[in-house]
Amino acid sequence: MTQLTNIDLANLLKNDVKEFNKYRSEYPTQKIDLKNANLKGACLEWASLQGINLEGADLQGANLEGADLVGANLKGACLEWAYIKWASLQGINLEGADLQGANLLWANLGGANLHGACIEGVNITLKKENIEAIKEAIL
Amino acid sequence: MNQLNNKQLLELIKNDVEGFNAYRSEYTDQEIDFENADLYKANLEVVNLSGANLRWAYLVGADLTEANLFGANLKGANLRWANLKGADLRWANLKGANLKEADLSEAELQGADLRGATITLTKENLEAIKGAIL
Repeated sequence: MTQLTNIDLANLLKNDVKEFNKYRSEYPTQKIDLKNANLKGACLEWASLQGINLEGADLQGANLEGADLVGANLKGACLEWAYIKWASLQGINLEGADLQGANLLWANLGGANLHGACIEGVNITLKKENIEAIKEAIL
Repeated sequence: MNQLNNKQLLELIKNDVEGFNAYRSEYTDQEIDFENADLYKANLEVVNLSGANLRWAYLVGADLTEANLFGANLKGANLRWANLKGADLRWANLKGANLKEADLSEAELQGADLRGATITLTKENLEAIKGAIL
């Protein structure tokens, strides 16, 4: 596969997660910038989104079950009612993000930044690292 | 009142919480075993289930307002939508319990084991779990 632009990658992600993941394994060092991307309601199960810039992205109601978001930047993103079960969220930046009503069951938030994030009604699995991570969030 | 077995006690608790509490104060040493019991939407306000075995019990939507669950074993119990307002859950075992959308406001959870339990984040719920084991 030839190297794709950020716009092409946003479309690929929306339409074919498997191909997107394949692309990422082919171009592991490419920095992907999906700032302010419209991914509302997108089906992104098990997507390889580690390290990606999704600042300000609209992921309202998106299905991110099992997605790898380790080290991703989701500052100010909208994740309202998003389904993020089993996702890897270690080191993710969720500063100021809106997570109201999101499902984070069995997700790992170790080292995540949730400063100023809105977490009212979020479903979460209780463990030390998750509780530590939500301390700076807003209820 | 004659001594009852767990099956009879389950019927009693479903129909007459006051009678169940009176029974417990008469037979203080009897162990209550409601493992896997179906108490869906049961009205259990102010019930005395201290020290009871409620492992894997189905308590979805149950009203446990101000219930005494001190030291109860609720491991893996399904307490979704349960009202646990003001309940005494000190030293209870809630490992892996489902507390999604449950109301834990003003509940006491000091020493309760909540490791792996799932809850819905609200100010009141977070306040309640402060003294719990996570």
